[in-house]
Amino acid sequence: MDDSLLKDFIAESREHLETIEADLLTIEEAGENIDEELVNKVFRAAHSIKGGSSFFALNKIKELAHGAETLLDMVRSRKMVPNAEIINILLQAFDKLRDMINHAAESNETDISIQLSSLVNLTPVGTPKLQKINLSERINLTPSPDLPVIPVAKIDYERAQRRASHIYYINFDLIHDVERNNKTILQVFKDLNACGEILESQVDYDAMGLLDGPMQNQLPIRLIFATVLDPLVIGGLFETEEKNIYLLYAPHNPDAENVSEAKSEPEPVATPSLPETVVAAEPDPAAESDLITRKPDKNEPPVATPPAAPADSTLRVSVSLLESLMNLAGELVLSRNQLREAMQQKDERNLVVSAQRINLVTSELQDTIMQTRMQPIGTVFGKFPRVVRDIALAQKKEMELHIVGKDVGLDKSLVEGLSDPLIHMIRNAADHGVETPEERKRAGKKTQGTLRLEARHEAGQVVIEIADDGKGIDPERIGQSALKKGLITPEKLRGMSDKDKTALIFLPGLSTADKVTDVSGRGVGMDVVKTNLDRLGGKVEIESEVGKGTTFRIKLPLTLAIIPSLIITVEGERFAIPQISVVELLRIQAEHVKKRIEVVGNAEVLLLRNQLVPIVRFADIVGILPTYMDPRTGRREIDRRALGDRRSPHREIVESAEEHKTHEAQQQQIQNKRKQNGRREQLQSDLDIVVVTTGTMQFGLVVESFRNTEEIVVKPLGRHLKGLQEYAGATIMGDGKVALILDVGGVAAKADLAPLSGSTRAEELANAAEKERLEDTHSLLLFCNAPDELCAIPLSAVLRVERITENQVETAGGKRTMQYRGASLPLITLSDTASVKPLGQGRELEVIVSRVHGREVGLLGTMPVDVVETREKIDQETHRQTGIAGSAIIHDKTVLLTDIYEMVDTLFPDWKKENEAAAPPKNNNPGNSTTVLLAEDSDFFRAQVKRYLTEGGYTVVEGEDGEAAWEQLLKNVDAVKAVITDIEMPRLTGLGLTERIRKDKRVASLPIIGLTSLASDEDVARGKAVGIDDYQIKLDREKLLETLNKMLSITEA
Amino acid sequence: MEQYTLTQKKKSCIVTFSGNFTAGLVPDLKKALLKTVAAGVIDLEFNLEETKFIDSNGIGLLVAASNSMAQKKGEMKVILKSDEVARLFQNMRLMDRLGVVKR
Repeated sequence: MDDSLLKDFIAESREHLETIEADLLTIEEAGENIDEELVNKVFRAAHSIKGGSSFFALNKIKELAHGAETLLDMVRSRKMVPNAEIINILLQAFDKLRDMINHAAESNETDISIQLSSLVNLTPVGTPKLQKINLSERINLTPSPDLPVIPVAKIDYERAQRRASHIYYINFDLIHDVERNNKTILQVFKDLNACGEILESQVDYDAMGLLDGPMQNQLPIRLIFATVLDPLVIGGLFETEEKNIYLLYAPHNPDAENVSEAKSEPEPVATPSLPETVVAAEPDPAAESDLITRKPDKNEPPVATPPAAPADSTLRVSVSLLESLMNLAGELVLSRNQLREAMQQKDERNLVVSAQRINLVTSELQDTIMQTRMQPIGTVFGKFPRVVRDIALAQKKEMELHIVGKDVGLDKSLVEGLSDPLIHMIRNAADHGVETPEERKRAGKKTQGTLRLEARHEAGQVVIEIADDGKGIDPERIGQSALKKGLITPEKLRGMSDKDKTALIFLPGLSTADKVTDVSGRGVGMDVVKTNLDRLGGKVEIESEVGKGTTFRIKLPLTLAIIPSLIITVEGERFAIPQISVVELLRIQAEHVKKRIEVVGNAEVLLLRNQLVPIVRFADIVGILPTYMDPRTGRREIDRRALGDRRSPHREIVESAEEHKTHEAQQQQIQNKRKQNGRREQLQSDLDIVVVTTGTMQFGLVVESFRNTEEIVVKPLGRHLKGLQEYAGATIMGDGKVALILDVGGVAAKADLAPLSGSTRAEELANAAEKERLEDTHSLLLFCNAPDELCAIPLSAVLRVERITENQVETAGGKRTMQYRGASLPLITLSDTASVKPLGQGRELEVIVSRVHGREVGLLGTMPVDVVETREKIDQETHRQTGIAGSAIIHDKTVLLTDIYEMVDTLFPDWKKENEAAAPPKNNNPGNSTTVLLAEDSDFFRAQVKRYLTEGGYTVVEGEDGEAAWEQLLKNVDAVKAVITDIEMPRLTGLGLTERIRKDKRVASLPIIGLTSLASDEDVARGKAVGIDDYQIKLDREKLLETLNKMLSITEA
Repeated sequence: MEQYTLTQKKKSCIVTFSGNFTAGLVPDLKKALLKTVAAGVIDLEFNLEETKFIDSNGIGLLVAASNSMAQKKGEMKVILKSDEVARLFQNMRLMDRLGVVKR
């Protein structure tokens, strides 16, 4: 058998099948208002598959295609209304066909009885009772009463008529008309199949006689042949006389005529010996089953066993694209000639020009070739309306599927590889994600669930999102499920974030039972999805919120053939990391290594923005020994110091006592030498780390250095390297050397990395990070009072800082002032209210300008002035004095925290009264008896803010965290008129407290002010979303009171 | 050289072809088959697994043999391997008549 022909047939059949699902669903939607063109299209697809399979003797494919074709024919002729049931059965039939075509070699062994009987049994459903067509019905054809009758399946005959084929009765002899004319019978039948369809054939068995009879020099055969060839050319197929070819039917002249007599006297010859239309009142199961579900006779051959064609064996490319490629190939040849000429002439200028030209042509060639492989992802997406529809019908759910980005192009191999994972994810989303209408109603959602499938280009990648607005994934239940199945340890689980827990659904073995569906709300086999996506170089992320829905985000490279990559080096060896896996690059300076890198058990972790990221030293993973440049020899030597002063993972080195001594002595020598020579001979200790992601986990890869990013051509690994999981392939660099391409998933597996280290130390670090998160950051302006007396003032209280000389300070009437912006600025020093040293003489002065009670005041200090952000705890007892709120240790020094408000209140007691008097009465200053709830976990800030509020005339009820504040609120429901809350607090955060307040009718309308040290826009947005009315910076008394007064005035009004 | 072997066992006879089955073989084979049939053979098997080509005379002989077996209420079987030959038999609707088995 001609393999290439079979491959063409398979490719063509796949193309037909690609759109059939969508077409059938459209046909179903249209119902009675049949779109004939669309039905014809599907019909033609079934017919083509049938025709091709017949040629290759793929009998089961042919039978099933025939059944589908029959049904479609009835739809087309409006004998049936295409309802859901009919379309379902057609869909199932085409599914089976697809499956058989994909495994053509085994197709003849496939059991298709279910699909066939469904097709047959369907007939009464969509047609009136008496119109059931018997598929085994035959009509007997003969062009003349003198010629033998040939029975033909009526459905085939009618179909051929509708296809506008000519139908011939041909009577010829294979010996006389074929072989004696130097043709072979194989060739003749091949030609016949190529030009049309043999509806039936009949060998004249009697003419062949018996073994004991005379030798027969003939082999007569009669055919019923349908073809587009008209009578004038049909004779070319045979050498038989024209009189032996009879036209039974012509598309535009239904009156049949004998070709040989066409020019003389046409004679109607088609004489079906049975009624034209056979209509059975009752189906004839025996007849039907004989035709449709007939088991092969024991002697019936399974016939052909062709090889299955690989999925990507053929590709259709537009002619214009091929022409572009040809043009570019021509350009390349010209460029090569130019280069050759330039090299021969040693013409440097032309060499450069040639190189540039080759660069340009190569880029264009690459783009154009990429286009030949690009296919719209819609070819995969087209399957999903059917999947969603089937599940919705089966589970009585209401779902709509929104598809966005069908036209996004992706490499053919990726499109094909994506099909299975996407189907799985869509099925899971529809099956387990979206709830039943009743469940959705109870959850306050609209009864119709929504699935969104979106593809888009983003930063040189293709991003595919599968989102549902269903029940979401409960990370706790996933975690417990994994724990029960022994897939993780309790310690590990404790250290996991919700995101890590959710990512556990990708663990093999987690989701293999129905229980998983109960537990997680997600279906089976997500590990397989992950593996398949890994194979395609893709990453998958999950975002899920219980009760709201889930979004899976897949990121894929545009192609697997050429990928952008980061080139790194380790001990001079170059490696490529696919850019899609790279999250960020870090360089940790030597002095920060100890602080940023922690050792957990026997592994290292990096503290990165309060998150623990496992670290893998790539050289260790691949077994490259570290070297260093020996300044004495100028050569690279193997370094035995295991990376010197870095924090290395704990290594279990078994040494003999003697070796141990020697080793210690060597280390001592090294240390001594370092002391003598400084850092000159030390290893360069900055750490270059590539933070990479496997999609579900990030880790840091310690490399020697980063190089550049470039597009690399992926080459498969040789046989001897195939088993190495840490490499995905190899590439050839510009200098001709080979660089291996890393598979970050493989590296993680080789390093035995888990999403989070579950050790106690990791937990400690995680706790520390959480504690740090809860601690407030203070932004302070540092200045000096006396030279050795370091002071600070909250930055929020500072308007400006001015540098002045001592001469600018004027003293009159016991008051210190300076001329400032056309007025007199009162100046104060800390020593005015507290027992601290005086400023001292002859030093440069700084004036820190603040606004208190609506007036500006200058606090005198001396250089140096600096701004720091610190989380250090503030001690409000040891150094507490009037004007000193407390102290903190910053940069190993005690810093006094000044309270400018208290200083002003002490030194200028009238300012407060004047300010209050100037303010509009009562409504704008509701203080006095008004009770305010203050939630703040920092003792210092709580005390400070409480003092401000009390001074502002408010009664303060306080709680040391959100939970305590809530309890206080419930106890003082009637009294509390406003809430001021910190955001980050243990037990219950400010956001949580706000949410709780807004949900309780008794207190829902209270104004709430969020206190923060430094609020980002994102923080503010989060706060506003849950119901915080305003944000204020901590320790900005003026603004806090002003806002509070304003809010309460509005409330009272 | 086109050849065949003929193995008779009681009432069965197997004809195994080592190459193509064309007109050149037909006269001799027909004689040999006639003898076996006369000797009481009623089950005929033609093994065409090595056959990639068959002509009209070959097919004619198979049909004649089939007619003879039908008359004697015996059985006939043709074993094929070639896809092309199988497709030819199918186009000629000979599969059932000749008891064709495709391997």
